[in-house]
Amino acid sequence: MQFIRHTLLILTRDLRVEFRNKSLLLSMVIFALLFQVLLQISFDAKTEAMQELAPGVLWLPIILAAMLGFSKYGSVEKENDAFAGILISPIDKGSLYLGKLIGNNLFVLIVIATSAPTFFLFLKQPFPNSIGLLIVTLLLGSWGFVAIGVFFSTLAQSSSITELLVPIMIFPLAVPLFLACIQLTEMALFPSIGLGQSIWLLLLIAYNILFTIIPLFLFDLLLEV
Amino acid sequence: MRLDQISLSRDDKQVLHDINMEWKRGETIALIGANGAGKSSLLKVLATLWKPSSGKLIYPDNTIKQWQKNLGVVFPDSFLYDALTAIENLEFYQKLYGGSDRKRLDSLLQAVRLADVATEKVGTFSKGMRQRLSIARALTHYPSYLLLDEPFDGLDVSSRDIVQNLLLQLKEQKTGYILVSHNLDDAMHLCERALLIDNGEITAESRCTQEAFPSFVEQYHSVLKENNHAVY
Ligand SMILES: Nc1ncnc2c1ncn2[C@@H]1O[C@H](COP(=O)(O)OP(=O)(O)OP(=O)(O)O)[C@@H](O)[C@H]1O
Ligand SMILES: [Mg+2]
Repeated sequence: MQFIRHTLLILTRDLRVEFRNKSLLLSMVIFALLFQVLLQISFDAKTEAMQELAPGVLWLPIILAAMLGFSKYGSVEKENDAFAGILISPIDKGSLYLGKLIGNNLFVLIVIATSAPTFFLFLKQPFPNSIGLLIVTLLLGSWGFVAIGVFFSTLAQSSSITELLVPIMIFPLAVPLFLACIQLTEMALFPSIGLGQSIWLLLLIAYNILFTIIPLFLFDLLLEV
Repeated sequence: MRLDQISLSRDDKQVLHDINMEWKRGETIALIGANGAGKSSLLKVLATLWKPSSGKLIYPDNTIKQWQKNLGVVFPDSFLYDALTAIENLEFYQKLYGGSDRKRLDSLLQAVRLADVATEKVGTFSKGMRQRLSIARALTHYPSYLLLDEPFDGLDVSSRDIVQNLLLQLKEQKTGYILVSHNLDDAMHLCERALLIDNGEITAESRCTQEAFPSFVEQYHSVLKENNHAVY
């Protein structure tokens, strides 16, 4: 109960600060949209080539917008060393992780909600073969990526690791996630034999569970002196 | 609270050496020392913000969470959120410690004379206003131990009086605090005991009484003199 209350406390703090400043979410959304248009222009999408490229064109703007979020999302805690105020408080630090994960994910979902329709409407992509699979992939993929992102960026904040190293730590760990997302997205977008769909889906789910649960328990140990 | 042979290194530099001290519940201690002596570092160890490189902290109730719950902290950084209002900041920290008592927050804002700017954003506050709000922030959860790192920093004369009276009141209510200050009069009036810290070691200790304190002050001045000789 305590845990959930503290999670919500962190979440509402971050959302309240963001809606006062209104800078991060807006820049994430605009960045993703512009980046997607840029990709489309540079590939000058022909339909055959697009089958190979489409999953990347859909995902890359989302991933990079999410990265933008990791570095800025927690930055309220940097002013006046407010992060130290959290660290010395008696809360289970797992709730800090979960609160930030949910908030950050909310932002990424909003990015998806704007850039995915753009992908189909303005870039003249054919209607996906399986919209259900696409939505599931987008949801799981973004949750998993945000989970490792929040994990490392928050750890970096409390230790001597500089923030510049965060992407370098995130990307190798995210490779299985990317692979699964790209494969599943391709299956969802275009009619195919759908070989291995359940295996990729399983991988994605396992990855999500792992990277949600582990930091939840690890955080209190890692952030505790 | 007891510190047993605490040492601390930061970036290969030894900041604290074999600190032994006891802090009884309700006891008020002044921590005196030159710039860079290790006062703030010692408070950070006590606040569980920095882990000592050796030695042991023996918490009153044996658990770190219980210690954190009983502790209030005023550091040079205010821990406040600029985008939130004064009252929202206090609410946030009170909830962080599991409480929700709006009356307490209102009376704290009264106590530090910020009641009429309660709904203004902290980003618009002056340094002294932040400092006073930071003190209120540290008190939302009725801590029985307080760490005060130069709480009078940036306060004008009347704000100083307000905070001094607040501390005397806390002392009376048996809230213990460790006060870091460069003002020896404050130490003498607000605390029962004084510790002198020099180069990360506690080198002298004294009761804050008319009889005992002058010789402590002398020791402090000789430390300052030595430091000056080392520099020039
Ligand atoms: N993060 C850090 N990394 C490396 N060294 C540090 C760090 N923080 C403090 N020190 C060193 O520890 C020593 C003690 O610093 P500290 O801030 O505790 O002094 P202080 O007694 O609070 O001084 P002041 O009166 O100026 O506030 C200093 O020599 C400082 O260089
Ligand atoms: Mg200091």
